[in-house]
Amino acid sequence: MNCRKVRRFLFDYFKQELPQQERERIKAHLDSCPECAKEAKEIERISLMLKDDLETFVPSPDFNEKLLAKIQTLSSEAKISDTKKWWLKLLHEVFPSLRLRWAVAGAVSVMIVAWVVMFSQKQTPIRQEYFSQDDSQRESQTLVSSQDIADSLYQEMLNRVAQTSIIRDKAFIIDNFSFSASRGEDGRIRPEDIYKRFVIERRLPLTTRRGRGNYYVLPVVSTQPASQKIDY
Amino acid sequence: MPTPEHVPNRKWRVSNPMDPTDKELLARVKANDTTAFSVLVDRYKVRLFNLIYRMLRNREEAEDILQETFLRVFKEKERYDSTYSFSTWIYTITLNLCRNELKRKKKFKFFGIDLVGNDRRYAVEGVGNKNCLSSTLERAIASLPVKYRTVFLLREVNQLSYKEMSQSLGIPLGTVKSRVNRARLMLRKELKPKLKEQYELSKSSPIPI
Repeated sequence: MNCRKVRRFLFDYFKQELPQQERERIKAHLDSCPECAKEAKEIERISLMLKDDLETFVPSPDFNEKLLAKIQTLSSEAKISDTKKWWLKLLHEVFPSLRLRWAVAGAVSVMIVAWVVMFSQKQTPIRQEYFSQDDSQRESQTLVSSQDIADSLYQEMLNRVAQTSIIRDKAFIIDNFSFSASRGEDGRIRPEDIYKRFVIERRLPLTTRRGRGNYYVLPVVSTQPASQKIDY
Repeated sequence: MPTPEHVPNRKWRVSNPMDPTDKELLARVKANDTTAFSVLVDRYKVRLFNLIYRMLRNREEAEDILQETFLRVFKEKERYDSTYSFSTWIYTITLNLCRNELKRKKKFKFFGIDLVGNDRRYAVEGVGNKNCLSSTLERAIASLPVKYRTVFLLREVNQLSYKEMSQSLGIPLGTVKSRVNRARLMLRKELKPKLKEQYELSKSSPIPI
């Protein structure tokens, strides 16, 4: 046995845990090697210190009490949560696999999103409602730029007024918000003009409606003949 | 804070053949026997506490971890694998909790708060009412890196066998042995100058230390 190997085993040697044969071999080496014997003496000292001089710390005297109290509260909490989470348990029984649960959750959320989108879209095209009743093929299905709308609205009004002086249960929508931004120096009719002509000159009753951030001015064309003056 | 009491190391190992084994006690704990649980707690609390305390170097934290250990034992009692000894199992739990706690502290250290390093209270408590040697030894042990301190404490203080250590730590037997050896060498190196100093001091001083 060489010195290196002996030194490796010195701690265990003093612990009396080595097999008889090993012990004897180490002892033989220590007797013959003064260097290792010196080292062994040091190790023995440290071993003794570890055995006798090391303090033993003890936890506080009420450790057991605190622990048992904690266990009591934990088990009562567990009971409460057992009754509370019955629906979770039910869910786990109906859909045992985690992947399936995720799939169901995904499907439900997609349905909710779709429903919200559909619901919110239903209210948007007020314009469409009014125009598609009579002329469903009109290009005015889409909300286009303010000048286009001004032009088409005015044309529509002119046509209708020229054809019949009475328009039944119809309303025209002017997107006030976007019209006010339109420029009209080139002889094109501006919304102000539409307003002036239909509301002030013809005295058509006016209602305003607020929809999705824009103001819609609705000159409701009454069932009265356009020529007839209405007093307010 | 209560001062640490001094119980001889030997006390941990005393066992009466008439006493119920750990496994018998655990079986009774499974049948909701709190007395059996208390016996089990008393059997392990001191040795585990010493291990945790020397790992974390803070008394309150050590008690918290000790409590958590026994709570885990109680909660997970049904999951105990009886092919291993109970002692191995409880040491595994303790070591994992210690490891997590040290990791958590290390994160704080990253932000400039040193929780792992120089805990003064530890040094003060370490002096104790015994002789100075014990505090030299404590400091030498505390100076070991966590990895080596763990194996050293398990082997030299808690007197676990290499096999038990390998199971509790979840590392191969050969690794355990070499790590213990390395830890011993490190401690030896750390102690060498200090012991010499102390030795000379005791020779020169008329009052024996």
